[in-house]
Amino acid sequence: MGQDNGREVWGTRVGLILAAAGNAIGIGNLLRFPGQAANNGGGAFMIPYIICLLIFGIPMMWVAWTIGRYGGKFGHGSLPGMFDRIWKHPAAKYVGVLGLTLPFCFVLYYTYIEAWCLGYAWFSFTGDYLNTPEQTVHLAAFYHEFLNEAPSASYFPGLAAAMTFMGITLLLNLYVLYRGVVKGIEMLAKVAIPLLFLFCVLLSIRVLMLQGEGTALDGMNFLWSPDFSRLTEPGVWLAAAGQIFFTLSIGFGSLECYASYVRENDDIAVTGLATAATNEFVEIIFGGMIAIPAAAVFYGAGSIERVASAGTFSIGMISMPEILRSFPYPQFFGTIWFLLLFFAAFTSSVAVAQPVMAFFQDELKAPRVKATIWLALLWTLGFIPVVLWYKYGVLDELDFWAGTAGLALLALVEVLIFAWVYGLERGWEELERGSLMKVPRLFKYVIAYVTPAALALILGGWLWGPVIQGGSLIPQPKVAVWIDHPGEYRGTLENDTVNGADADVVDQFEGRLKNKVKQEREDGRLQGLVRFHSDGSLSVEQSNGLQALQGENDAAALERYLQAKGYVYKERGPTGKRGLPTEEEVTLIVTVYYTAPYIWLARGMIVGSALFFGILVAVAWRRRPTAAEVPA
Amino acid sequence: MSTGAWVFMALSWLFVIALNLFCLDRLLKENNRKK
Repeated sequence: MGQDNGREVWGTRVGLILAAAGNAIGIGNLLRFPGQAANNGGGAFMIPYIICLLIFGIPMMWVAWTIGRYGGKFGHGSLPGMFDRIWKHPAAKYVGVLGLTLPFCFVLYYTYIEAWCLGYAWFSFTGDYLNTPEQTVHLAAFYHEFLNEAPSASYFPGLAAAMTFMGITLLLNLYVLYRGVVKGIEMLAKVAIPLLFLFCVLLSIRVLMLQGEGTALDGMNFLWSPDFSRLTEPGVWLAAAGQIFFTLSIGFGSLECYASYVRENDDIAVTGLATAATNEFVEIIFGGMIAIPAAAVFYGAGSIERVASAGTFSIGMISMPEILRSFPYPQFFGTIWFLLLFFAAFTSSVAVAQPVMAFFQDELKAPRVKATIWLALLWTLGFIPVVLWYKYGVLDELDFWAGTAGLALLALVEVLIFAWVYGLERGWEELERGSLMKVPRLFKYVIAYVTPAALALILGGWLWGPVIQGGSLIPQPKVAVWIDHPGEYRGTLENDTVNGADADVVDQFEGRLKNKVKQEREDGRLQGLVRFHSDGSLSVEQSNGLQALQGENDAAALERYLQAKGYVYKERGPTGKRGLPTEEEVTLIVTVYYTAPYIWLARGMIVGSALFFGILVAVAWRRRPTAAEVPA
Repeated sequence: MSTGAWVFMALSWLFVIALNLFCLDRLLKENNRKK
């Protein structure tokens, strides 16, 4: 099937909705949402969440679908061409470069996260992280060693495993993209999304049937109990807005790209809404049914807060395997869990990479094979720093600028272009052409005034916190504490922040380490032989590396620091479950990574890809007149 | 589970189910019309 301009069109509407829903449904639905809800007022979080869905989530979906279908009519599948067509200004296509740079930088690190899920599905299948009578696998160390973040090598000698899974993931993505929209992306969605639903149902039933320290209902109670006092905090509203943003995949240019393969008079209003609805179904229903309730069963109702606040990847890659391996059929359910995350990520990564592929095909007139090879080269060049220097924060830096702040900026630009350049009346007419529903007129005013204001506030809020208040523009060294050779110990190190409330001691100690590392311009490392006692206290027997770093040979300084951080060493039972504080002599390593060159490298990657795509846009448009020069 | 938790979970679930049913209804209607 082809359009008049020779581009592909979606084979079926079901395929399109599944593909677009696959774009939106990602790891965040199952891991980020429950953590955000639990930490921001529980059930009350749903009030700002649904308000944000209505004031900018759904309106932005409609804006994206309208711009996309309109651009597709003229043979454009990426934002440079779409903006050029709408704005008719020589600068428009360069503004659209954001719609290539952001998704490209996003897929570089998102496919790495996708590769972790594939890797863990394999480790689950083979039982690599299961406990045996001979050894207890320390899951936090397993995870950090897999990513080469920890200085120890009990489970992985280096990055070979991570690189292998990254390579496989990249090849799978490229294969689907090479096959094209109908035979590749649509086929993948038709298989992966039903499987994703099946896995969600299987895991939800599994979690409801588990019995342990607590019940699944304790977890759901923790997640849904409303705390209305939190609604007065701006941070809670910002968190809700952020969740809507990430979950709907707004601001990547990928929805617009998918919409460009829709026929000119096909409905987009209901299709866009159905995409959001399917995504919300997975997020609100299954997102709340798996990870947090499972944690409540295993760790007990009193410990869920610790698990929920530990962060997205800690829940997914450390807590969930720990829980699943402690119950019958760990290999089966572990594989299902990680395949679920993998499929969620896979359908998103092909969607986000497609605008770049479409740009090569539509604007540079590259045949599919050539476009795939170009993309493969760029992708490979880009993912290597992400994998090699993960521990220096390359992934986090790309995530902040390209995957967070950049998205809000692009969405803001897009809604302004739609409402104020293209014009609301024309935009509305375009949205409703072929529509299966009458879009409420109220949304017209929402898109013109409320959505841009909300997006500007979100962008401001995101930049204000970490950049202006936190001073994160100047890269800081990263300090972390690890157990040396964790495979040799049966206990686990816990960071009990309630007991370790002495923030001044921590700041002072870490500040001195960071200053030393900044002066030396290389990584620092110190080691201490620490005796943990059964009453939860600790004492440092020996330390080395401290003098060189601190100018002070004082094991007591390390001892004060570890105490202030609230480190407790706890025994683990036969299932790997945490128990009471126990007595053991443990070698701890404090690493201080000198991150500055790598943070600047990550920023350079974003700026470099913007320049690169900018040049390609200039080259592509030299071959033909701009829309501004074409008479209407 | 507390009453508040049940109420918020039920309302949120109802909201997404209603949203999905609305879309399904529109899509099925069009499907029938085409036939």
